[in-house]
Amino acid sequence: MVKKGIIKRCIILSGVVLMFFVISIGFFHEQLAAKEKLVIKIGVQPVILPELITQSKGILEKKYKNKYEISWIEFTHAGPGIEAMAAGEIDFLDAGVMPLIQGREKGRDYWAVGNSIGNVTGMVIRKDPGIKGLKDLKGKKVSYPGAGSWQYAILLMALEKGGLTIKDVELHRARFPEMPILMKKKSVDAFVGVEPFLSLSIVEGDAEMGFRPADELSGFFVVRPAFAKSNPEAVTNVLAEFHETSKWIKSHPEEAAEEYAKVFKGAIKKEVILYAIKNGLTFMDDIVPTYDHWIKFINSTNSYELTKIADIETFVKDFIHPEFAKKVRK
Amino acid sequence: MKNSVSHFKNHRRKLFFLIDIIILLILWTIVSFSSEVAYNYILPPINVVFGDFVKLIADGVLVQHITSSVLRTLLGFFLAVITAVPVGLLLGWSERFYSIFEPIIEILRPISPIAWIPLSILWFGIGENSKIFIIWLLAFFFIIMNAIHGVKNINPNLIDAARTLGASKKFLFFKVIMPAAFPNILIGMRLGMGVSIGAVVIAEMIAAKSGIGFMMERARTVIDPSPVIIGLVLIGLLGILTNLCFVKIENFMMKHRVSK
Repeated sequence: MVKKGIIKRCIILSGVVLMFFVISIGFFHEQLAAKEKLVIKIGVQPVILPELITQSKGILEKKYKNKYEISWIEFTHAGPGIEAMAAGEIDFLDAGVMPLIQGREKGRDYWAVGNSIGNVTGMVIRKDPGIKGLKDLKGKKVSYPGAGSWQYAILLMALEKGGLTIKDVELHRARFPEMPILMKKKSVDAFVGVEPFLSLSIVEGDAEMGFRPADELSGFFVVRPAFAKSNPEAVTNVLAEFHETSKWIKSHPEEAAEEYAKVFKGAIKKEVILYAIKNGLTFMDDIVPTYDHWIKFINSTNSYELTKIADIETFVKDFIHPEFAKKVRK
Repeated sequence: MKNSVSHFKNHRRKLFFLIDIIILLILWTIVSFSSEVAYNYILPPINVVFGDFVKLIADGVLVQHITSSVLRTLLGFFLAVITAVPVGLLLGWSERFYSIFEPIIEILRPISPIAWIPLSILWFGIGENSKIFIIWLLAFFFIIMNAIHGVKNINPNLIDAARTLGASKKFLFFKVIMPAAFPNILIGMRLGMGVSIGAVVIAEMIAAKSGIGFMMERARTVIDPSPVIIGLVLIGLLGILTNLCFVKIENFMMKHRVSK
């Protein structure tokens, strides 16, 4: 009697579990369904980049609705995006220059096909009577994302300009979104970060711009080589729309700021984004990447020991593929 | 008399629970209003968080996030149960297999789920498989350890008695060992479910389109504390709910046992 009771209960429980299993498979079935259109998987990050507006306005979906199936995959930062591209999970990504170079150095395979955005990085200094310039950072606390980052190189450049070295400041590692909060709490006296967090501190009245490298090309569109080889037209088409979006942002900064604020759901306010667009960020006029720029840049990262690339020319020629963006320029 | 005493204890428990919630809400309000930074960036007031919660429900977004996380958790947990329980029983039963596999388990067990994420992306991509792998991994070790100890801690007199009465190995395993180890296995499953909920949040922070972890990480990236707090509360509630479910399952499965 007791035995039959246990067996009955086991059967009922197994049935319930199996039902959940079946529902789960059904829920995720879209991944198993065959696609007729070319599926393009684009990695995005929730920062001020042109493709965020391309995504929010559904530009690619509307223009190529019969040709492409666009899948947007969000990453919190570039690292997991690069891993995903290496695993063949995404076809496009817009990422910062340092993670891209370091990823290539470690053997990750992708091609840089277009210039995305410039002047994303800078150093802001707390508004304080005792801190009038970079030289007054001696003995002060500076927040940065960590050694090996491009922001670390910016920090070294900024300190050099103020006649200081890394040993003259007290370093604190933090993530970019945390930096303006640390600044507001006066836990740090300066931070080296990225937009829109630099503009957030400035607009909130907590800091002012201390150092920004001139003509810094910060972000690049990269593509999975196998995808690019089999779908060169798709690469050019997607780049063209990203470039059109960049041009639209430059000519319509207010509307762009409003669109970004909607994407960020109001946490990063419109006035902060507008300040970043008007005073810092550069949306590229020319989308075509050049070998000279990259060679110069990698010489710089080698000199700061962020990279150890011996044969820079070969590295750059393997990595940079301007042929797709040149068709956009035409 | 007995009924009125237990009735009173029940009411008193509910009253204390209510008092705890009120104290928490008061502390929350005090911290929110303590500074501009706390108000805007760290712990917005209850009414602001509640307003955002209502907006997320109205958009349908929150239900989608909860559904994604729950389904991933259940899948990963289910896979952990069907792999860990038989393996745990075997390792608990066979000293030879235990001595071979125990060092591997002890090496892999303490590794944090965050450390597994880059490998899981490379092995399984950024789809559901990598997330379910992380959940499976964490739940697996909790369940297997409890299954092993469940078997090893069986009263040896039970086994001796069964053997004396002529029980075969098969009978011993299925009719004595398994039922005796079952309470421990259930404990392992309950703990495994708890870590599964934590694991899914971590796995979703890396690459996902939905889920509580995705919602929280995205909100953190754009300095929007409300969804982070909503996520924390939801995780807590899911933990309580799954624990209650396990208590019910335990009572249901162990109904045949004579209560003392």
